[in-house]
Amino acid sequence: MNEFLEQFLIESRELVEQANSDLLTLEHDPANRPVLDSAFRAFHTLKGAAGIMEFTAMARLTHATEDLLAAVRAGDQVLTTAVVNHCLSSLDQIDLWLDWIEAEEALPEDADSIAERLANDIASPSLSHAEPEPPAAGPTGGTALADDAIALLKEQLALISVPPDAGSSGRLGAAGRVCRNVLRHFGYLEEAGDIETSLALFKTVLLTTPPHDTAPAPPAGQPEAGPADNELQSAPPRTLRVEVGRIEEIVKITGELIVAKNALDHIVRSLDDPENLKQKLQPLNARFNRLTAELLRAVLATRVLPLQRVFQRFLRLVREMALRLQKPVRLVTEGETTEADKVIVEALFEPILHVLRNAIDHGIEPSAERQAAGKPETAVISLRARRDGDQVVIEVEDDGAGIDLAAIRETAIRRRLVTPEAAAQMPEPEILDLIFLPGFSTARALSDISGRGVGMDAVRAAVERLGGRVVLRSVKSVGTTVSFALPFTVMMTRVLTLHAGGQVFGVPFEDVLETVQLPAERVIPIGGTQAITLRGKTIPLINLACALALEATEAAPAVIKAAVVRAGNGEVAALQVDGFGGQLDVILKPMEGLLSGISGIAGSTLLGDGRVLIVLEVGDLLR
Amino acid sequence: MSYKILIVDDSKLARMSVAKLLTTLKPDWTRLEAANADDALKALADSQPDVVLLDFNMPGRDGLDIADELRRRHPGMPVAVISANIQVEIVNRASDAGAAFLPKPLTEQALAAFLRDAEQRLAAA
Repeated sequence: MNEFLEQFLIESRELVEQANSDLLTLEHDPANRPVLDSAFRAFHTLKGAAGIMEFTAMARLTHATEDLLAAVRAGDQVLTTAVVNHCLSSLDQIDLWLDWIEAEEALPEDADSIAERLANDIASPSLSHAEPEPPAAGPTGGTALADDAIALLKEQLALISVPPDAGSSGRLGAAGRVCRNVLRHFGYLEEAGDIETSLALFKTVLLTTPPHDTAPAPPAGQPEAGPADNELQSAPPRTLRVEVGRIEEIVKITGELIVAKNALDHIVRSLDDPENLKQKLQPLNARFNRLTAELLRAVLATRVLPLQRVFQRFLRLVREMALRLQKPVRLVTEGETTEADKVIVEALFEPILHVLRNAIDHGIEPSAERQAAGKPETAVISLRARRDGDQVVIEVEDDGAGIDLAAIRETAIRRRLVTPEAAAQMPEPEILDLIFLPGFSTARALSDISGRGVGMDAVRAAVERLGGRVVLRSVKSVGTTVSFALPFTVMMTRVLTLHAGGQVFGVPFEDVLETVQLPAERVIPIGGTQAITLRGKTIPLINLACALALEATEAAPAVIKAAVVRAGNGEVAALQVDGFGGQLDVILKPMEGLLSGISGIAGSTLLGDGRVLIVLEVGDLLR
Repeated sequence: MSYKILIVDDSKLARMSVAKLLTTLKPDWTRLEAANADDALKALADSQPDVVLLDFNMPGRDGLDIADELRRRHPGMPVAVISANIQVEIVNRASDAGAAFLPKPLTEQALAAFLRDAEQRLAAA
């Protein structure tokens, strides 16, 4: 689809939506001049857009509707329900055409005759006389349907009787609305009402089905966001559904652009030249830096989702856990419209689930205990989300027994996580913090709900891996609150982990061409260095442990394992390692403070077990 | 001679189509775009275009309003008001504001004629 057609569809859908909402407002508030102007302008711009694209039938229909509204503006025509119905019918027809255009890049063959008929209806002089006569015949007192109305209804039937595909929901919604308008126009109010109810139900069903990214991709060329979808989004801005894969591609390219920018930035900073090149490059470089940062922000903002989906899943899960443990619990959610990066939303599911399990299993007292303490029998867990600057804050608060500090202190001492002397001097928050230490668990018996082998240490590691923090507050016999603070967006880098010299290192995945294993005899000594031949090419072999001044684990392995890497300047080398780990998506943090000057290191990240993974800068290693 | 031209239209599609015509007619001209009256006046102050194309129908201040203001601020600047409504009233008001009237959708021919005239006026000034 060319960019003009794409822009045409985006604008036209926005205008149809705008006109629809304006017309519905006008029906209740016919004297609202700005809204009338806005509706008029929407049809006018639709006409202009159709003219540019040479969709003559659409231009014809929008022209007729625009004239009708122009007459209303001029005071020559009263804004009756019939006028609104005519305009709405035009919009429904345009909506159908837009679907068609999206799939076929052209209007259907019958577009001209339909446009002609609708335009004639609109121009019919009978309109100017206020309301149609009260209905005289028909099931709910509607007037007899005109032949073209019957034809229109039949068309809708034909439209929805095709086998279901990706465009079905759109067609069903649009057909339903056309029928509703026809019936309303001829006074069949009850029938129109029935359709309205079905449409509302239909919308609810659509709303609760999983969103696009979990559904299989629709066949190419099918309109996927039909008119019914347009109505789903109550927020005024027109949205465009984009496959997640495409967004990820843009995110990935942006990431690589930023890597390139960092390299350029480095060169400009260290430039030492007599030609004043540095002076010339600096402003350009500053602009480049600013633009890439803005680009990254804008790109990541396309990947945000409301937390609603995650929160909704917890309602069921909490209910099930509470039933199983026979503790009446009610989950109250708040701020589910808060948005966060898709990566964050998805990665938060496990940690929140774990905290909820803990709350139900350990936090909330058995019913009898609650009654004795004068608490309501049904416990309440609040799951709240809010946006706080660049962060998303999620809190899980229960009204249970609170955490027993003495028990934590004892356990920590018993597990030798802390000495009795240190524990005695610890302030309360620090004692609570002991819960997050690896290997800590106060549960007397592992239940199958919270004892799944992950403790609060795993929760903290998961959150910190995303660049966030988790804090726990607890008041005895009042309850416990766990707060997660996470960045609104994250940029993930894929790394390959390698073992060398008894340690684990990461290498940016995009720098790795392949991994190879070959017998030690194939290593060619060249002076003091070594090389290997790979598909006829000789490339240097660098022992990673030696390059990093670590002790090689095995002096002379029989099989050489190496990752073939390419530096930014195109230079290729093989890094000899002890073994390969796996792929990992991480948030790369640049080295700070004293470590920031070390060459050969691109950054670091936290591993799931709390260890620091150092990610190597391939270019520096090869130098 | 290469000039700077400002295209004012709230529809991006319309701006795209004018821009496409301009790449054929005046490939060496610099194109500026604005989506509303405020942006248009800002672009006028910041970038000082030589020629302005205005869509008549825009939310807020319409094309004729801007044309009136342009006549006051920059008398002699070639300005065209583009509208799909070829109504005598609009055509007359455009001519009162010293602006040319061009029908929408804009044809290559109509735009070429206006630009020819504009170039002559700019060269004479």
